[in-house]
Amino acid sequence: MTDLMLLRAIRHNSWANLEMLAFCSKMSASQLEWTASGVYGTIHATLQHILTAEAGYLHSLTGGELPPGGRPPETLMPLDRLADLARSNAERIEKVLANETDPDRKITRPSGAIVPGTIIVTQYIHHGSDHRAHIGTILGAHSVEGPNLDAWAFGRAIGVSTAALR
Amino acid sequence: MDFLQRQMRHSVWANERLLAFCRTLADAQLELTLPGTYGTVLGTLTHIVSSEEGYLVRLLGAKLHDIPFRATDRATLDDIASHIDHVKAGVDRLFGSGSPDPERVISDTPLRPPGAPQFEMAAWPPATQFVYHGTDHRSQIATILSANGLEPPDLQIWPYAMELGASRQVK
Repeated sequence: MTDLMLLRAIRHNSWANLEMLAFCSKMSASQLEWTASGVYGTIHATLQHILTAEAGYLHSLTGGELPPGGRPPETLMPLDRLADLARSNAERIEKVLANETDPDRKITRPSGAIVPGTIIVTQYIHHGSDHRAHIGTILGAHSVEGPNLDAWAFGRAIGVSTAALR
Repeated sequence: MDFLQRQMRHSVWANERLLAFCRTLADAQLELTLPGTYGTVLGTLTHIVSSEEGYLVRLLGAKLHDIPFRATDRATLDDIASHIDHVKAGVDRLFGSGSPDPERVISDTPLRPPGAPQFEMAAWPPATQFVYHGTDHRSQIATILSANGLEPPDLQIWPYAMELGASRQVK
């Protein structure tokens, strides 16, 4: 499953999580409780949801492994602990991809559904983008410009994507 | 199937599903928006699909059709549906001769307006952006709909996989 395009997409997701966490770490506790109509919840709760969901997808992909420190609590974790979880998710998903010999291996999810591993990895990426968009909307609704998390910004951050020729 | 191809096909499916949902809305509902989002439901859907065409043109090195589809175009849902068909065909072309090389350098796009800066890039940024961008903006549309008391369609990978028969519930 170590597909270079997939690896780039996974690294973009991991980078976007950490960028959003870094941005939010500069916000006050009351700002982290901001929300808006139609989104998942508060900024803080959404960050936790993104990262614990990733840990859940990893649990399925690894046959039951938990992140360092065990199952994440349901109560809100401080942002520095969420950043630890983000870094651990990032490392673990890359290991999963590097060691996967059968991307279409069937996996039983906690819901009872049986899905190929690639579907879980696709959802892993989709889910983070979906919920980071919620946080972007909450910030925008409060007249705060959030971080640019698109693939162009990621490319610039790692110094490989674009170069203006003229 | 190539992982990127699966992601892009999911994106096309999500656009089609969202467009089908939008067909059930009144014209005034298509103009709903919220602070913090890109714009109206209709404008955002136009932006998603026109951008996807742009990413594909860069990746393919060829236009999908003569007159570019722009986010500023005043498109109807039928217009958007026809451009989703172009995107679908473009995705099929992209994978027609195997998986694209993520590190292949693309030096320009046929859609660059005269005088606009020319950017050189590897193939993976526009490919990654294709997938990210659609999810980001469809999420905004879902937020607008939810905030206005409308239940948006579920566009996650799970229902897509169920439709394809790649996921099944065990009794």
